[in-house]
Amino acid sequence: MHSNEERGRLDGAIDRAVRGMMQIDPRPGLRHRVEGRHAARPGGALWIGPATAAAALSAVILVSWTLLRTPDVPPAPQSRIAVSPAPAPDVRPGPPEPMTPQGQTPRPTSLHPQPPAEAVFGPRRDRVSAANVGRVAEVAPAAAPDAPYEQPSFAGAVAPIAPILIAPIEIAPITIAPLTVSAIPIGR
Amino acid sequence: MKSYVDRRSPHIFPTSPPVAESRERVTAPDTLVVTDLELVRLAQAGDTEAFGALVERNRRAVFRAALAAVGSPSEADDVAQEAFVTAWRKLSGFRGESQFRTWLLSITWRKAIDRRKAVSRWLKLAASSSRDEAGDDMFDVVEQVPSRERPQDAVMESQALQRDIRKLIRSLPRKLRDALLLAGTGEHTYEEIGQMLGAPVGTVKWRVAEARRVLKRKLAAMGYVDA
Repeated sequence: MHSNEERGRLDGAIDRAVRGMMQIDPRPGLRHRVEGRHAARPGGALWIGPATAAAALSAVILVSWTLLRTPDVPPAPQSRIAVSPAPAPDVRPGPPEPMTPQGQTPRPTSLHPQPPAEAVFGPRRDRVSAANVGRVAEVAPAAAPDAPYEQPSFAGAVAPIAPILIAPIEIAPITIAPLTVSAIPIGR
Repeated sequence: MKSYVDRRSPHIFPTSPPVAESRERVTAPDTLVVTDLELVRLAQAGDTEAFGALVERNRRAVFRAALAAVGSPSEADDVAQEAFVTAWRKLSGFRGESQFRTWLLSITWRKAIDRRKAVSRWLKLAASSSRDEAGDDMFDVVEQVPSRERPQDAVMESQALQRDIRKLIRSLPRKLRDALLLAGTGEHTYEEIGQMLGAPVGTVKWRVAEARRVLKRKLAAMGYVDA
């Protein structure tokens, strides 16, 4: 290795600058700081683990309680309108259904229309509110599970509603007149 | 209390005059002369004193390696602590296939580079408008050396030269700067530097020489003469 004088002034200056930048000692007590830091880490982990678990459990309980809580809402009177008997409207059969592409089967439709749940099991009787407190006696008893289905009548409770008449839509076929093109004679 | 003495030979810094013996010889009657590997085995068995001795033996090498990467003594101290704690926690996985010091320095360098990247991201946000494109870490935020007339007085010139060289070192490309600064710590051999940087020894030596060439070229362009 050359001395600073032999290698030139700038080489020596670079050596001095690098040594001045790098040959610094750490602050005293590094060993104790390392031991303290090492001892502190497991304690922190022990504290963080249960706290995180408790917070997660609290969040789960809160969300479950919120979702499972039954809302205290009176039964809507509109549901009885839906089950009131009404004459079936005279509806003409509509246009034929569009062709389904090959390889696809049409979605199966229910052969027996299902009655609303309240018509089978009766209205909810365990709820009393300002809206239905006077009508509890009018509620029909629930049918037995194996009894034949019978459409309940609420004619006395709800005013009859005029049936909805649906008028058939008549669409006139679109006729397109054939286009006639005559040749134009070109004279010389 | 036991004391452990390092019986390794002192390191020879390749680019600077030989470093004086920096480890104190303990001459107490209960002194045990043990190697790093023996201390590792004791520490693996739960001997805290043994790991403390490993910290004492390697604290300067670890601190200076971190300093070469992050450039700030306070940051380097924090990185050194982090590296020792990580080594302590992973000590059970150390099989002795490599030297403990090399393994420890690799951990230190990874921690230091992580810190440098984090600091660099912060500094890029803080100094994005005035930053030049030469580098990508905290050193490069330092302002560039202005081209001006050199003071002629010898003492003033020496001080100005040292200041300018430090600024130029900070503006070096990262690979050249890392190799130059690690070689200048006086604590690491070229083999250890190569292990840290993931480069062959020949590449490390070339980078050190190239860094010096770049510095001298820039200094000459600034008006300093290599007498």
